[in-house]
Amino acid sequence: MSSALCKSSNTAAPGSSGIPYNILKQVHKANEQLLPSLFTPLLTHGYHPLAMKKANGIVLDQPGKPDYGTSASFRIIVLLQTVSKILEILSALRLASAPHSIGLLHPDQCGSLAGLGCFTAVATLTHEVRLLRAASFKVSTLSWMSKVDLTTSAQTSWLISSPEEASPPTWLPGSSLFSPNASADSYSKARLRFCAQSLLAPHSAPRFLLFFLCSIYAAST
Amino acid sequence: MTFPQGLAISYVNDLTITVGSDSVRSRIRTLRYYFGIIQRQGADLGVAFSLPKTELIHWRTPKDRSDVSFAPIVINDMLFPHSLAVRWLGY
Repeated sequence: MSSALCKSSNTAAPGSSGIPYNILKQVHKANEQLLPSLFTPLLTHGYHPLAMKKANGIVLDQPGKPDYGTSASFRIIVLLQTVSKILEILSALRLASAPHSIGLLHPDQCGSLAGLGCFTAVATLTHEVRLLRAASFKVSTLSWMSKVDLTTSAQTSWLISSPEEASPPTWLPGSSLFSPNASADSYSKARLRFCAQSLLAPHSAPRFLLFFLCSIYAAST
Repeated sequence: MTFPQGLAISYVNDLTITVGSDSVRSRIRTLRYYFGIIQRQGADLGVAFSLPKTELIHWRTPKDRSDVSFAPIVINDMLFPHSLAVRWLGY
């Protein structure tokens, strides 16, 4: 609980509840058992109360858009309630080591993970570009974005695959370099997982929790 | 079949493939090959890719005296010119 509160800024917008983080910090300072006793049952039963899902949305124009007649020209800043965000942080802290230990995420998947944030991704990319250039290669990069649609059955079936099936292929070294001698078949399988696992990026703790619970459920049945 | 050295990074839902070779033609061909594989496998999973935000960059340094390459890449009949920066999550 202390770690979760430490990560929260006192000046952050409190959301619809109007309870700022410094109030929660003061409560926890006065009684260290109170907040854990409130959050632990929610985590134990895997339930995120509906009342904690209410948020204030601030709609901002995205600059430079030619047409503001579509929703894609706007960006919504969602101000969740502080108690809801604390629950998210607690979930993320408890599950922080799980993605890699059970093979839920590919080692190359970055974002929203401790030690695998944006800095790591950029540092890895620049390092490898320099490495290839030092080997007298010219280097090119292709970047694109995936659309996530979790309603399709194919993805759902992948989500509930067993941890053994979800484990990264052993021939892929941790440094994420392609194996120079990889066969087309093994490469395809690896890319399949690469694709699928990139869709499992924990954009938010509840979503991550959902993925995690789906995997645990599938593994236990 | 062998593959050249390369790097694949996924940042949230942005996918990046980096390859190195002597010729720009080879790099473009390799990137298209990799993209085609991922696209086909993604289609089997019901996953689509947002092509309008696809970006291609040919890396070089200010001290690089070699010829500047502006070679574009064609993916699904869409032409993507080279970019000056790689953006993740729109930044």
